[in-house]
Amino acid sequence: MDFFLSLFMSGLTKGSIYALIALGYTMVYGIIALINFAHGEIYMIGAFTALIFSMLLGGPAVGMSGWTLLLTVAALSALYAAMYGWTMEKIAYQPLRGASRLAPLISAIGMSIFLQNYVQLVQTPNFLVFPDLIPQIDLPAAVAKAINRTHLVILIVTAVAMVALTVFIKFTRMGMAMRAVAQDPIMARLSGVKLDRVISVTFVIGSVLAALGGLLIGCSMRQIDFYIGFLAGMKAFTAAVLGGIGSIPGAVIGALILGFAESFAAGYISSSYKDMVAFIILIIILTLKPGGIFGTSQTQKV
Amino acid sequence: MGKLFSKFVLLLSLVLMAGPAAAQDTLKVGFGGAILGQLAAYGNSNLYGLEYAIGQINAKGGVLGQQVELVKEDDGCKPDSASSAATKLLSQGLKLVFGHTCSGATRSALSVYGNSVLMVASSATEVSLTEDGAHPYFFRTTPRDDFQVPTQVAYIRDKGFKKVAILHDKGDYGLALAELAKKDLEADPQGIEIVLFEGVTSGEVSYDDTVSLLAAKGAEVLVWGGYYSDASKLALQMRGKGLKTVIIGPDGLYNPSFIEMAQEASEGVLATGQMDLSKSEIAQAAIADHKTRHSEEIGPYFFYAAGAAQAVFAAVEKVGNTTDFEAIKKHLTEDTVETVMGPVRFDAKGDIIGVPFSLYEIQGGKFVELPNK
Repeated sequence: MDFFLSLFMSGLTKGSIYALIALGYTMVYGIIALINFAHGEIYMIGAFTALIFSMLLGGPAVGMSGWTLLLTVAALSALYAAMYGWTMEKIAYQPLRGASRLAPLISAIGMSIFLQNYVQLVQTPNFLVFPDLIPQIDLPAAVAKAINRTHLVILIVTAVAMVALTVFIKFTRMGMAMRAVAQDPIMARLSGVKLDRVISVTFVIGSVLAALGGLLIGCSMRQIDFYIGFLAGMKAFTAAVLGGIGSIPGAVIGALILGFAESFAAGYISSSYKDMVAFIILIIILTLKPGGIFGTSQTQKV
Repeated sequence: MGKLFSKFVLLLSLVLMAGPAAAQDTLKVGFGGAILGQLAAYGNSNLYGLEYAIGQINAKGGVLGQQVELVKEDDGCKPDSASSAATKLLSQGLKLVFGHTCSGATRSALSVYGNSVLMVASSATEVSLTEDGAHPYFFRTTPRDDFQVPTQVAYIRDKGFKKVAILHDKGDYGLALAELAKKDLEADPQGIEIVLFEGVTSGEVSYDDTVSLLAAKGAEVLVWGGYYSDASKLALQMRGKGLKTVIIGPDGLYNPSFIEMAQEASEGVLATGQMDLSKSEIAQAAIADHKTRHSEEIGPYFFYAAGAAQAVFAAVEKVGNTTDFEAIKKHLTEDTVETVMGPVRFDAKGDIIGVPFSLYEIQGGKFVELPNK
């Protein structure tokens, strides 16, 4: 039972890590039907900027600590990543908006390779130590045994982000504009929606989520390098597809399924085969429901 | 006219004589390895060792009465650059080459050199380079990867551990080491049980599930096959869950970055690594000599490269030329040469004899060499 519980918890934490990144993927896809492969790189840049700011502000010169440090670093790296996301959309995707659907996809892959190499060159090709920025929390003994505080914070942030995003898209004017763009960009424009602005906001929100992911996952892994975006991005993308790309609760559910599948496969079969088990589940679900769990299997959107 | 002609003949004969004489002034030997790029630190460490050994021998009159000159070619540790670097060295007619730095690059350089170059590596550790016996004139002064497994297994037996878990990163290096450890333990179990043998995905966001598995299997000791970055994540998550399993890693873990990353979780972790050769008096003198030329540290392969050069030059001196590889090989495998890295002699495959791996334990944030048994 203990073994089952510990696998369950590790699946839950892994799932929520994937979910935090998957939310950004699914949101961008939901609005403009673009798979933003550079999203994993924004996550990596978020982690790097968080590390840089935490060293600057946590150092003796400024001397911040505890929650102030964590929140300031989170805000600054989110801002930084938002600028990257905004610029990326303007440079790599906006000029290709009228082009065939394949063009922005290639552009996204190019952007991803560019950002990886850029960080490798201007920062470092080596692993860097990431500080554990999350302050000590006194947890009840039973909770502390099952989950550590970093993973608890990741879980909470993922849940809050999911709810906040759903509310934002359902109930605000900007959210309504986003849904309109998703349904029919030309009609939305004709009814006075500022298309460019809506898409920019989408990218900014996605990038902020990725940066938060970079910060929190950095705290959990305690090391980063320029390549972390690749594997995490791949897994998050898989999760988003599993849950139905474009759907916000879908991304979270998909990520949790992926996390549990990996964790239980590692525990009860073999960790050498866990990726295989996870992807077999993906294939089965997509065979039964081609649009993913929460996806509406609409045919071509062109 | 006659006078002019004789002057011309005189001049011509001088030029003709000067030609071969100048060529015989120096004995050119090659160095192939990473001088630039990400792994330059490894290549330069080899290079510094060679510079030291060549400086020493030139001060004593050189080899076969000639001063030794080093011709350097960069391969950036990349197999494809290594073959072009090797082609360049070969086309200059060099007979002795030191290098290359990395195992993959060494393999592709060897296929270019064939049997027309005698090569001594001082940092390429991959097993099959010597084990497959394809290159009779290839030698190396570093102990190869699999020499560290017996050291790890001996420690496990010595401490009386009964439940052993073996994890690897599914890469060539890590998997080979993990399989060797498994083979060694299974060949003569003495009550030792391998409770877990698995691969983990390198760069994973969390190793929690593997850690749960380790805890459930009740492993007393974990043998890790892989590099330091994944090992540090594993160590952090194991200690975070209160798991006290002893961790033993290979030389891929024997790296100060491991301690920096795993921080408090690194305490008590063991790793096999190259012996500390810097303790002897001549080694200290060599370091002092190096400091007069470069401000950089000597790096991990300085002594292996210097030892390689000293052993080869001693053999060449005995043979009297650089072209009779069979005779040079005979001396390298039969005579023991005292070098800055200690006594050097090779076995028939080309591996060094008597340079074991040491076992290090992390104590107080530092690798401490455990006494050799």
